[in-house]
Amino acid sequence: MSRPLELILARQWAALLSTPVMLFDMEGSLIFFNEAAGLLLGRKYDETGSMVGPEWQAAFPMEDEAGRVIGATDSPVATAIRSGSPVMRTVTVRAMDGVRRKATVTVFPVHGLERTRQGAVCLVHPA
Amino acid sequence: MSRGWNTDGKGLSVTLFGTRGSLPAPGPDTTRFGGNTSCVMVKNSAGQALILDAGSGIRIAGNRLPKDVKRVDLLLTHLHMDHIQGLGFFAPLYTPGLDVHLWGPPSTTRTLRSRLNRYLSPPLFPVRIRELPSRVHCHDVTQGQWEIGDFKVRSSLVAHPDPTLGYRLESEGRIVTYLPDHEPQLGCRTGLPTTEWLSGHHLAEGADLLIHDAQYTEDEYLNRVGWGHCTPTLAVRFAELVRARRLLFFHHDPSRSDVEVERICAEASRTHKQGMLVTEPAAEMDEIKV
Ligand SMILES: [Zn+2]
Ligand SMILES: [Zn+2]
Repeated sequence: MSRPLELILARQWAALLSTPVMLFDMEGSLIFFNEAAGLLLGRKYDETGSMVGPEWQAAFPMEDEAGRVIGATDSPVATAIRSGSPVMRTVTVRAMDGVRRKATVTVFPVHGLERTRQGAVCLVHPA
Repeated sequence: MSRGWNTDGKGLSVTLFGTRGSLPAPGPDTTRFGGNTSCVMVKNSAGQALILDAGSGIRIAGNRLPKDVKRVDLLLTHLHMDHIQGLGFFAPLYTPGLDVHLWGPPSTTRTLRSRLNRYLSPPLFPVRIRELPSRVHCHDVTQGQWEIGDFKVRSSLVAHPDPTLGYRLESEGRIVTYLPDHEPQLGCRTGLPTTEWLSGHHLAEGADLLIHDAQYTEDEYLNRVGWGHCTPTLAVRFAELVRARRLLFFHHDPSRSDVEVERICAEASRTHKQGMLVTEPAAEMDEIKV
């Protein structure tokens, strides 16, 4: 089964950007991230493939500004998908290469034709 | 011309009333593959017919329906002019009381009916939908699956500018997939993506007949990236990836002569090495048995 066109086009667009971009499906699985995001996360997408929620949350946990690990249901991605509204938050990522990187993430849900919800796009701005 | 009759007496007949893309292209150079724009009729052995797209070919398709037809279903992939320009000349719309069902994509802000009204109203056309004597039912569809008589219909958005659907029709154990305007290679640096990320994949998977965009040559495509069309060679790659059994090169460029259509499609067909796929250019008024 191929993915919805909204996500297919988002991936093709993200693959051409030097802005770090991650794509999530409605279940919160990380289904793609571009090369720029790979530099922040410490691994390439070709190495990890897609990861379901618990996998990516374990692979690169996010911490809030007080240094506490953000739980799965409180993550900006989960919040954006659940609420259907954009979320912007500054987090510290414990990346897969062992380095901690601070970044501001903007997650916006993808609303398709006839308001079908298809997932979320996460833009990452290194802070 | 009619080819490929089934041995079990069942199956679908697919008649090509328009195979051209973008603009009708009548004239001495296009008599073989035809000059009318997109319109295809798929009929099962019980005689139930679905019509795909309303290019200029639909004028003749409309006249081929039985006189006592009770209901007509027209599935529109999208509302580019070459796919709706024949609509005002579709005879069933002028049959008093006949139920005509139009299926197609809304935009993010307008229904299918309101989008079609833009064309079927002055100054572009003298008659409005509400003034037609038939009973017109417009159905907004994007991705989904439903039944029309004995046909199982599946639609999904596919890669082409503006909301555009592909269709998969199943009846009597046969599958026909219709992707007349499709750029599955968009954004890929080489070839096509893997099936998970391949636009149209689940519509075309295992199709007995795949009708697919093959408008541009490789050279033409270099300057037309993002215009929404495919090349014959990439159409072959797509057909291989989805494991289609038979591929019709469709949506011929209006500038292409019969000789050129024949040549570029033959070149593309030679790139298929496994030998499982049957390929040919779509020719107007051909009737294909699936
Ligand atoms: Zn077209
Ligand atoms: Zn088009």
